[in-house]
Amino acid sequence: MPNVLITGADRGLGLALAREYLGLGYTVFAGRYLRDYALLDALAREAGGRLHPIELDVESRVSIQEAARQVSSLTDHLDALVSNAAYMGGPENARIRGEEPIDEELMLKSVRVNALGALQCVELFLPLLDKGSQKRLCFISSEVSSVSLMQRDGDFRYCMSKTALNIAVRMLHNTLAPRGYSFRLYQPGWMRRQMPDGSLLNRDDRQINADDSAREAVRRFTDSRPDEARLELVDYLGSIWPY
Amino acid sequence: MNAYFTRLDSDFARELAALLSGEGHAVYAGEQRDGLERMDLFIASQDVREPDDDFTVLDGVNPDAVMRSVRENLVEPIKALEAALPALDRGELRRVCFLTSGAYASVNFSHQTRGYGYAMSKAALSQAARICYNRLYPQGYTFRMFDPLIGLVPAREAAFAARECFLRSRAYDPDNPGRTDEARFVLRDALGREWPW
Repeated sequence: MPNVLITGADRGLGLALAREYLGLGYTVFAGRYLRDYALLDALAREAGGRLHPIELDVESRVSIQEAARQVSSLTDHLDALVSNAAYMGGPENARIRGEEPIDEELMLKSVRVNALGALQCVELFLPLLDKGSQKRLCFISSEVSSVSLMQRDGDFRYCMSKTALNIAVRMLHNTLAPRGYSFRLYQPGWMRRQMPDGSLLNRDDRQINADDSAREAVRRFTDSRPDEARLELVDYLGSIWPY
Repeated sequence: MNAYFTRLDSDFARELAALLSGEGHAVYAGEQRDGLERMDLFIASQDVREPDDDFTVLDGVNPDAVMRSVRENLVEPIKALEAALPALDRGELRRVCFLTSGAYASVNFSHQTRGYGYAMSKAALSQAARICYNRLYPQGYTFRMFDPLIGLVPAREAAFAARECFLRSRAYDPDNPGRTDEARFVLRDALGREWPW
């Protein structure tokens, strides 16, 4: 039975990804971070022992190391890793010449969670992934990672951290693709936020449901291609985004 | 013209400062920013490659080296630009220049397996600078992302290329005011090549 580790699985896309993988027969190790969300526990109860919530704060190397130890106590391998955990960049709209000075600590936190966190998850789960049969590494990026198509004049913390993630994924690909690993870089779309009671916050009619994005993501995360040497950023509609 | 460097701690930055100074431009650096009434050319000259950033994912990640790179190559230049804006607003050229590396910052092109901190900080700088460009270009600012190709091109030669890149106008069509190369956000290196993002 294949298995997968998903970071940031408490709600929204991460939770929906866990549900999709369970539907395909996977065992899921689901990173839990948010204390005020119990949706993962409810899904675990439905999963018949195939979903294991794992405490995982990707901003903390110690937490990732502890999570790797915990997963190692439950399985001798991992087939796939989905790096989904993300920090949205803080409450205020960070911009040059904005109402508030740029907060450098939040700039650092954005990179530490969204890029370095993903990199360290790959590094520290690599011994388990090396023993898996799929060797599939999947990363949730964003359309705002694209320098070529960037139109915003603010919110730069989240955007720049996702660009940093993209280059880290490229470098991981340079090292690990020759060792049999394959990669997926996914732009999930603008999703409705899931609240602790499971309801969805609809801020804009253009927002999509995480379930729909997760369905397309897992279809791509579990497929195989004849050209795995190609690294591309693909969105929930199947379109390819420039970097 | 007043040219300001965030740092003069590299051969390249010192060569460029000497070149500009030799042409009669006033050159300032570091803390001198706070006393400047007017600034024309802002050069974020941070280009720090931490010695302990030289690992592959198989060697083990050094998170402290990564975050030091991010602080120096990304946070400091953006904070320095923020602090320089009042003086740049009073200048005439309003040109903002960042040092970067195509070989490390280009997601399209990178062949690197080492230097995660440097690469992540420079790629993030590309996006942060792009967003600043989107904000400031309508206010009369122009931007340069420049790769001096340190180690491949001699510092003096790279400094001359930077002088050309930083001070010369980019193409514009006098018969069609909207048709200008300044409307493109690009990364150019010391050999005049454009790199993909």
